[in-house]
Amino acid sequence: MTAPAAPSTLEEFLEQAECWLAAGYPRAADAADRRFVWGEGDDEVRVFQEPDPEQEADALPAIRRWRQELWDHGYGWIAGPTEYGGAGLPAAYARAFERLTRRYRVPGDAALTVSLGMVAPAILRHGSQQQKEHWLPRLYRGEQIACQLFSEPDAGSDLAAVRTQAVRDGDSWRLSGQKAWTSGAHLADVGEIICRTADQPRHRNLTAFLMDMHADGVTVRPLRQMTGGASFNEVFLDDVIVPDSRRLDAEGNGWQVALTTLGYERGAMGHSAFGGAGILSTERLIGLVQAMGKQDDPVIRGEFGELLSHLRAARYTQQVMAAQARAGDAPGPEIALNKIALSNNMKRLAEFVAAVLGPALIADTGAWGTYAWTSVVLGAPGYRLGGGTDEVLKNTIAQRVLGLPRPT
Amino acid sequence: MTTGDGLALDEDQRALQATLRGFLTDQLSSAALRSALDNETGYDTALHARLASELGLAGLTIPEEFGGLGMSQAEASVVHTELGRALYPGPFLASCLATTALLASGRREAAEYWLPRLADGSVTGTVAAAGEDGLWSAGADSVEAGRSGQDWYLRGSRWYVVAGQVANIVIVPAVTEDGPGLFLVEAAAPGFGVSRQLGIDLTRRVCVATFDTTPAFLLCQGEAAVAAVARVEHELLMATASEAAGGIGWCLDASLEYVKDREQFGRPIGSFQAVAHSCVDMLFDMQSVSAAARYAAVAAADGATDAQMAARVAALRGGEAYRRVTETAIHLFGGIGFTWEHDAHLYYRRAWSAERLAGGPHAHRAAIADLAGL
Repeated sequence: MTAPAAPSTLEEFLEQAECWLAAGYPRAADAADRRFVWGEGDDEVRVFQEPDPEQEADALPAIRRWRQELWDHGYGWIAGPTEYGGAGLPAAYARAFERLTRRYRVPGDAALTVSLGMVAPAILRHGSQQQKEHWLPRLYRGEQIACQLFSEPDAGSDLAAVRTQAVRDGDSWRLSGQKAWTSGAHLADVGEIICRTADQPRHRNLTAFLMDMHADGVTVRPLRQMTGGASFNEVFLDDVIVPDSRRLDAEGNGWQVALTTLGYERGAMGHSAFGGAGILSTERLIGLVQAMGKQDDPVIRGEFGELLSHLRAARYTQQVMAAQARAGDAPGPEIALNKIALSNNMKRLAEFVAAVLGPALIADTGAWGTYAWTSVVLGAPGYRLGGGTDEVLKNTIAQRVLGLPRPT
Repeated sequence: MTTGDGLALDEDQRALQATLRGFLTDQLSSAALRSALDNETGYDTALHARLASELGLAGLTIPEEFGGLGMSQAEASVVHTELGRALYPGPFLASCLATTALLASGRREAAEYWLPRLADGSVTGTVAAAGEDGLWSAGADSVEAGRSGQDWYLRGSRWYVVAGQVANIVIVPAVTEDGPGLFLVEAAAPGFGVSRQLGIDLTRRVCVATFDTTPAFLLCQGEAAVAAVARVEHELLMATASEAAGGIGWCLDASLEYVKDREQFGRPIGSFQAVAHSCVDMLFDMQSVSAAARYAAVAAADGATDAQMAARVAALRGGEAYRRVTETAIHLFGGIGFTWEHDAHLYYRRAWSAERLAGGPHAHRAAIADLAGL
């Protein structure tokens, strides 16, 4: 990509970036206008991204164009190494650019969270020179979209138990098996997949590949979850041929690749902003209490204070961890505590809206912004499971952070 | 909103933390702590003098023009955390609150006279703001101020006065004919008395202070007095949250050491998942309370708009988490944790008392709802 004319300071970089954004994209409404207003617009509350499949597919070309534009102007991978097409600038530049884009109406990157937040970093860490040169530019400019294929019906918390087999056949591998809980598989061009390539030893018998999602033998089916929507897929593999050039890292190193990717996932989950109009937004919760006429109820006020304190504490923790990471003290596996905080807070949120709404939570009265909260109640249990169950994450932290002995 | 890099400890703050932790580990063993608790003051005055002079703690947040080090709440938070970790029983917190009150009152002559003395450690101060119900309010009616000619005097009582037994000056909100006022009383003044309250917290004494027509110096009145008391309360919330983070850190470290070593059923108890998960929950509390205390301190130092909210959040979460963690620690230590000799109960006692002294969870929840605009 064309690098911007080597800006020496962050200010100059942002000035150039703003010029470019302003020329091509409308400014978003002022922050004050974007505040949540009770009773206006869609009252949908989303706990998981469960977009309508047709709308989602329609939005995709615009997202790809946006990524291509970014890439062409040197903003596609600001902090990435120049040898793979990145701009080679400090991470602070990327963060500042990200903040800047929020002031403009640009197509969001939500559909690319797995692609850019998990798979691309895993390729950067584990890929061959040739793979990095091939895949990283394609992922960052939106030409290719990636998903991750890890979990299986019989390999959930015990991920190392994957059964999907990859058998060598000359210069290729033949993949057969079933993956589950795959976000975005229906949109993806390439899937980071973990397969078993030997019987023994456990944790050294797995190998990662970058599988073509459009290859013969790949079948993607939406997986409907208890909320009624579908954020995930089941993926069936029937003798799918994958060239050895798409093997990621050495044969038998799939477990390490999976751990790298999951590390990025757990970090990303704690930061999850949620779809819809921000269900953790203070304005929205206040709007709810006021609409139900409970703002003078001292018990509800107390419960509101309690809930808000948990939400703020979780945010402060993420911000302090981020500042520590910028100061060169990046968190290890304890980053997963953010995900545990999130699943606890989803449960607290469900309890709070139940207290405020009463029976309007369980049956629709037609009033704006009331029954919609049902999706929090129905979605909360999923948060304790997604991205590793809370219990498995606690085991990992106990052993790898606190140095406690493994259970015997 | 505070989102800056200041949320991570800088090099000087790390050095302050390491120095203080090293000093207190050396100088304040469990035996040393316990022996000091039985003396008249409730702490080792020689050790306190060394902290004041060698480490400059007495003048930490006092501006340089008044003889202090002029540091911000961000550094104060580091100090409160380490003192909380060691259950340091000296009157550091009390003097910090008096300092804040003097600065917030805007009464320059009082600041010029008293702050250098607080900074060099020759004077100890405290704030006596709580009524018998434990609540702080500038309009509390437990102390009344009257005048005779140009001279003010106070009548009434204040409860739960931290370090009242050793304070040389006491800052007291009182009600005047014209509304709230903030006064300074010297402990040597006639009609002033302190009596120790029997208290759950063995490492922090509280007293009842009585004013029987006690001469007092008026610091400020009206809105200014209300604002000054609010500033002091804000400081107290942040300090107790930082102390909680420190105490939680001690509980976590001591528990980890124990569960890795203690064997039952032929293996270390830390290998049992129920025990391991309890330890992870403690780590969660430590990270969350440390972060909230840190955020609140940096927000206050930066004058951020959410500084009040952050202090309430830190106090609420810190108060509850500290109690939970000390209870877990006692449980993990088993029977030995329930003995007088083990230090776990000293932390348990501190956790309960600190949460009440800082206003208690009901007040924090209500304040958070108010601050959020509900």
